[in-house]
Amino acid sequence: MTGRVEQWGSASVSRTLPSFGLTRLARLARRSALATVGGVIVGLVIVAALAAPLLATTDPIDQDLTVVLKPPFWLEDGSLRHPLGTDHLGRDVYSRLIYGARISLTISALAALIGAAVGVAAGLVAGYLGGRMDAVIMRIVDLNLAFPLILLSLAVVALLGANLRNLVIVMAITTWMIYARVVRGLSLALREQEFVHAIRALGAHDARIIARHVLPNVFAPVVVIWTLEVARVILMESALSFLGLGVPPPTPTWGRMLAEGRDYLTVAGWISIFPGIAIMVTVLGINFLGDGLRDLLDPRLRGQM
Amino acid sequence: MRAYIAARLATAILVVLGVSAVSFFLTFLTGDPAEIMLPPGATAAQITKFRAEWGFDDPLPVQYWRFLHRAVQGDFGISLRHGQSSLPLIAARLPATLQLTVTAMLLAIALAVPLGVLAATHRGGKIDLLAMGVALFGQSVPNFWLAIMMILLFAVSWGVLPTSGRGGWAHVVMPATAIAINLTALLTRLVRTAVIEVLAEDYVRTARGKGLRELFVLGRHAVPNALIPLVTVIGLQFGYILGGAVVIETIFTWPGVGLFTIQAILNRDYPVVQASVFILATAVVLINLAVDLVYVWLDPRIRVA
Amino acid sequence: MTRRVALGLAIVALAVAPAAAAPSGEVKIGLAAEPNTFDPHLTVGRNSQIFIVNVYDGLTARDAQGNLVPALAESWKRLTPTTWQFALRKGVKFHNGDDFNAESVKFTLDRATNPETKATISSELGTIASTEIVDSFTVNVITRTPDFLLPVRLGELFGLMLSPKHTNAVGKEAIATRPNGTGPFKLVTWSKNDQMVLESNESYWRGAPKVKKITVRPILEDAARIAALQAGEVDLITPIPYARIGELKRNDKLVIKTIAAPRVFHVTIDVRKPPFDNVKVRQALNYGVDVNAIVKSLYFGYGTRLATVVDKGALGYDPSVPPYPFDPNKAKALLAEAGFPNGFETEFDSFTGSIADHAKPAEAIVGYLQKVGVKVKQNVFEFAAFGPRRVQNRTAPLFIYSIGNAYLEPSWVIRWLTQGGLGMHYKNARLDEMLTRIEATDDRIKRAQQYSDVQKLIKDEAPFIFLFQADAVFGMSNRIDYTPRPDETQWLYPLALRG
Repeated sequence: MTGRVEQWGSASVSRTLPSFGLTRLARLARRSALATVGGVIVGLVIVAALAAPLLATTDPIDQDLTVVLKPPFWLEDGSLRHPLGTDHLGRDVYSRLIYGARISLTISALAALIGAAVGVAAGLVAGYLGGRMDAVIMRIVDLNLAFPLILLSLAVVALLGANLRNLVIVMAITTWMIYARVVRGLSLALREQEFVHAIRALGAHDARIIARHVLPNVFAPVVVIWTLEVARVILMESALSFLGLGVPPPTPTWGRMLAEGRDYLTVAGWISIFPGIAIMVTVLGINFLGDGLRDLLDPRLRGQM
Repeated sequence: MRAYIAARLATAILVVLGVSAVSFFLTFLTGDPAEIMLPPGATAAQITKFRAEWGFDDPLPVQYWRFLHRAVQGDFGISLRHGQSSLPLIAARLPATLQLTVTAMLLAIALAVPLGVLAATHRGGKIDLLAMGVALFGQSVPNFWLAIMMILLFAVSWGVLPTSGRGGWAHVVMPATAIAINLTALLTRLVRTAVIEVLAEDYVRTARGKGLRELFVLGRHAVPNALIPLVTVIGLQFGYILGGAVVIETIFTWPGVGLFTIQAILNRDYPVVQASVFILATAVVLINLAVDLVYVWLDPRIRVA
Repeated sequence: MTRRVALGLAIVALAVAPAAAAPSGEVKIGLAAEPNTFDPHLTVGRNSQIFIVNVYDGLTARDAQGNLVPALAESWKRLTPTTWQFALRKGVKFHNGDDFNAESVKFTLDRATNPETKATISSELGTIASTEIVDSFTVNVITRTPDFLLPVRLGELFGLMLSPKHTNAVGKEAIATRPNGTGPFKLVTWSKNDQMVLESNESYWRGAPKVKKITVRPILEDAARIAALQAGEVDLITPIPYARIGELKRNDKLVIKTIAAPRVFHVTIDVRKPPFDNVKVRQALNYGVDVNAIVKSLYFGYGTRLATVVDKGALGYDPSVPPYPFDPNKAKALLAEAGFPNGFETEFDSFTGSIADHAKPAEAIVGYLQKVGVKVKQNVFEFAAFGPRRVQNRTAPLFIYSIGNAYLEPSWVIRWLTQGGLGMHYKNARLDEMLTRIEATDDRIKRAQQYSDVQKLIKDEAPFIFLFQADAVFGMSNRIDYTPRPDETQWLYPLALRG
């Protein structure tokens, strides 16, 4: 589980919502080679995930115990039938990797998205309304932060059962606080801005102010955090799988593959090396992209992330 | 100021109480240790009898009241598994965990500060690219994976470090590195941005303008000022480091709180889980409190945030 | 009714027992788990019971082949159906010098059965009603119901003997870390999760052990444990993942020994729920799973395909009862006959975090069932969360489990598997009758013969998907000599340094 920072400069507010124009993207690409690389990596992984049925050579959960632990094609005894070899149940590592992209990306993106929705809502309420609601929400944030993550994961999985949905819930629970903190800080500052005072004086409703003026202003940082949280959640999925709390078999996820292959590291390293590389490259790509987005959307956030 | 500290302390206590209550109910809802504690040949009737004898089938509020009643006297009960008082059992493991986490933290700082400063002063150059590459790698690698790789490399292939356990300082190297890797990555990036920003400040330019040597400007002005925000980040990261220690302590059989706690959770050793959650949550809350207070001391204007 | 147990073996044991040289040297051991306590009545998990025996003795013991042999009791006989008499060994002393005698036995068994002790092992000693001292070295143990297994129960797992004086003096909490037994080793220091030091008991009644000092380190992670052996940090480790055996065997500094462990893997079928009430469906499941391939690929051949739930080390194991062959076509045909030509949907429970890996074989079994048309959804629980599901009978129609046949006696295993609870609902009056008859037979050989019919009946009825027993794996450096025992016990007495 990677670390991250909740502290977000409470004063850094960008006034306008940046547009995702082509010129801007081009400027981003020029300015940051890393961001481009990241974008390409993430793009490729998304394509692999979307086109998994076309790209995979076999059914990723189809086992064949007569061909277990076969090496990749370039090694002795390997064959193109299983280009990246087979695992302990004779399943095709390449096909599992492709389908794994689909599942790992989906659950990570979804968990980060749910976390974002809850966190943004909580942050807006706490920051904009303030007062007692603010105190209550921020104490819940503190409580969540001080709560041992592993206990939380175990509890949810044990209570609700290990499946994709519950894994998404667990990971969302670990990610909403950062949005809540950041959005609270931003909306707290916004509330005191003159233009908000002016609009309110004109008789605008709070909900309308939030929707029209506060929300657009927190959009940029939320997108950036979301990107980086997706990366963190991919890593977290692998750690949970390592502890035996991940998605149940036979569903292929990168974390599961990595954890399953650990007994076979010295005899059939390919079972875990390829998902390991996939995780690293993808997380790296997302981090590159996240950095680039941050530079593009909100340069003032640099110091805080 | 005093009122602020008092208020913060009050909420800190509230958070610790909340964490302990939530963890109590969560662990209880996820199943009891009866079947684990009895020999495998126990029948359903014997398990039922055993649960009654140990009070596992009392209503939850009754058990919680029993727990609270003892906890206020500093007694978290006798460990179901070890037959000894649970708080001293956890307390006895605190030094090992502190040794590991503090070493990891110092290691991360020792690596991140020079790396970040070098990257900042050579902005856009090869060193910068290299430092950022290292940092992003550190943020992308699953640390349990790195841990196992290190064991295979340093302990088996090269035989230069002990495989596991706690002993001399050589034992600390691998687990501390595994914990430090993500934090190093994060801190390197933070230091780099912070130094870049400070270097652009007027007083630094003035110092340079006065013809002071670059190294002096860096050492006297830029770096110390850039490091102030680091304090907050490190404080906030402590909770995550403790969380990461659970996995790493397990891999290296490091006899600390994390390993003991995960065993207690898996065995539903409630008294130990409670004692541990209490201590860990208190540690996280106290450190965050300390960080907040340091910040107030540094900058009284922050009080509202 | 009198029964002399393994007299011949006892004589052999006595003849070779006394070791000539004084104990010397140190051996370091790396284990995946350490005991939870040295209080023999509060042990949790097989990992504890199989280890603390090194500090204590039971009234009976097992030899290297798994036969029941005398220990603190020199002989035993059944006086009435509910009374067992044990003649105790004379001149045995506890580590602190206390004498072992009838009083120790009565104290220990009274403590174990006293509800106030809240003994975790009380379920294994539940038949004991009382213990009577006949004279200083003779005790009668009276059971509530006839219990032909009592001498086995009072062996190394559940019959470890305590010193009354010491136990009362140190108190209930301290006994966990300050044991005083009669066993071959004394506990010197123990820092949990860190290390434990044992020292030889030079006045051990079997003769002093050969090694003077044993250091035990828990090393939880498989890779780290193996690495510790390879790096020479430890001399003996267990367990070892099967995938690593081949590679370690090629290392000429290491010796790898495997031995069949009495842990019987099986898939319980809920026979109450359609379609599993149909024996053809249950047989089809057995034909549909290639257990030999599972043993070969997941266990690298270090396991034994079992025809039923009787393991090959158990009394009366009948090798002439053939296992179900792997025949997916036959499985499909049987399913069609039962009215499911297109299979059916069901669920399969498995779990992680218990003493052995159940999730991997479960995954392979589910894969095979899919191929004969049974659409199986696999659930994975954490072991502690799975327990309550069993107690509340909320398990899926199929679930994997394993039972360690601690007594090496089939009736004990089968009674447990057909108890009508914990998710196991198969009942058969004829089977019960056969077992009752067997349990009334004191003669081991006659008892063994009767188990053949039991195995045939269970196989045909197929209330389980019959699987395998896996081997226990020990890795050691070539500087030590050690022969593991076939009952999962980590008995370190025979441990020796080479040359």
